[in-house]
Amino acid sequence: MRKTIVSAIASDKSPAPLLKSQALSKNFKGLQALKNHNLELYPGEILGIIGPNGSGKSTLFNVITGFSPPSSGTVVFDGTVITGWRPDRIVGKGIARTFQGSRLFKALTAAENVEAAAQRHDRPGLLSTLTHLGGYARRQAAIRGRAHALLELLGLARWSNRRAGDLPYGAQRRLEIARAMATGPKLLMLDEPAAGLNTHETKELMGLIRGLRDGFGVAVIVVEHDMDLIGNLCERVQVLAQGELICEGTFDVVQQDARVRGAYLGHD
Amino acid sequence: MNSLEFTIQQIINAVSLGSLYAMVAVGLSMVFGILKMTNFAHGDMMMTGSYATVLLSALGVPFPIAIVAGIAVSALTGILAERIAYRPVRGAPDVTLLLTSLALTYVLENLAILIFSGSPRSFPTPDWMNEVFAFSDGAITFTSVDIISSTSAILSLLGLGWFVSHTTTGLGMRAAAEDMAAAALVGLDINRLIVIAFAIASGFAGLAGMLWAAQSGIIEPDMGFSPLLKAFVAAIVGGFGSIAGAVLGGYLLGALEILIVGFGPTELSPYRDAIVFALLIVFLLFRPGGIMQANREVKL
Repeated sequence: MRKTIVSAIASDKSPAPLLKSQALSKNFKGLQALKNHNLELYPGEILGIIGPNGSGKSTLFNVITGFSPPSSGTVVFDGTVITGWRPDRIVGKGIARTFQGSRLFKALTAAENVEAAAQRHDRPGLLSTLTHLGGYARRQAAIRGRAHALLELLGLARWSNRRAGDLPYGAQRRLEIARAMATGPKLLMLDEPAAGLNTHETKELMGLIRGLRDGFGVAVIVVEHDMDLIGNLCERVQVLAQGELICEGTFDVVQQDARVRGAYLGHD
Repeated sequence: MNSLEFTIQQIINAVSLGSLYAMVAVGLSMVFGILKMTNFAHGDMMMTGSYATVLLSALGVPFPIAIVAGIAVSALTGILAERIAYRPVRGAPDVTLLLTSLALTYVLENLAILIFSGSPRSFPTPDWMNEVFAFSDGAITFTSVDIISSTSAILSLLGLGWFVSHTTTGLGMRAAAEDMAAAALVGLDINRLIVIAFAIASGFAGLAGMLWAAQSGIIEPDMGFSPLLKAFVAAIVGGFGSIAGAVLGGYLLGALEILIVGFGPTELSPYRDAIVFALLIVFLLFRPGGIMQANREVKL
């Protein structure tokens, strides 16, 4: 899968980009958190986004996922302009995300967290829910089944009936990914998924992310400070500084770039 | 009259009153849980349904059908209130939401005064609802309305509990109550969940309003005000935002009032409302999260 994409890009017979954002900007009360940002992402690709704190990485996530609409610019996803759409519609179109820090439903069980997200496709209608007719049991079973498969895949099956807030930290991070995957995305956006994990857990996480890409064919955008993860996992890296894209390329290329070094050494 | 019979009578009264409080409190708590907003117009959902029922039965519609239609009118009022009044100001500061709900109360009550006049009207309870059951030479008495209130409250509250804990929509509502933004970002349709919450909450208020009217025999435009305040206390006592807590609070409040009236010194009876609201103040000061959660802050 990966090979075909890479070779397709290389041979210039590129498939249509899955995500194409053009001239995205976001202003907060005079502060330009994101300036004229462009991005193209191909199906099944893993893209890393790095940059110092406050460089606009999370803003970019929020703008693409509809969490806070851009001040200007357009986002085209899977052939449709989704700029300004409501978050749940964007999820329905196939973009799922996790949050920097956790936004799990802590009072719900791990299984319920994933089932809530898995409703998107199989939710029975209200009438069907109340009467238990019209395929209610089948839909309910489909939701439960998909949730359980994801919990299993991310090594969370034994925590299924525990409150999400009571899970160990590493498991909570994986649960966020399981919940995002339950929406059936074509693009998975991970905001600092390795934050707070130890080296061993981070390594495991890289395997999981790769597994999701290979198994489900999702494209992945990952924001991370862990350069080990970025270098090992990402086929392409974008570097942001002060809301601007300053460099793009493979990790090796980006590492050698003078502007990137400048941004990280923080002389400005 | 021996004391056992007296006690049984008071328990019947407490369950009957507590059922009404619980049904109103549950709606208040549901809406608060999902929108973090106290819907002071909630009591008026009791009123709109009752007026609809009176109107329909005056037109010759059979009473049970008029009741069901009245509950539907209450639910519809709730849906319209959400759509017209609350949705446009969603996300605004808390004070804006609070004032919107107070304004809506005035609009609805004055609309009722305009259409039906401010004077009370009799609620046309059919005879079978007013039937009195007396035991032990009248030491224990209750009416069909008492039985209907208690059973319909308990059944509908159990039904609500099942709905919230066992259905996909109920799961969505619990998720949205915990983190609305995250719920939207896992693909849940927030508007749909909020509309359903309003419909259920207002439907419960409608049913409670009907039973309230059947017990008092009259309806008036501001009939929802007093039960709303009591339900508010019940919801706070049980833990605002929690459905089970609202039910518990409703029955506790019913029991407390009957305890004061039935067992307290006679001089205390006129002060029962004062005692109830003193309880509210005590809870807000020392246990704002309600009985179950000690330290959770509640914003109103």
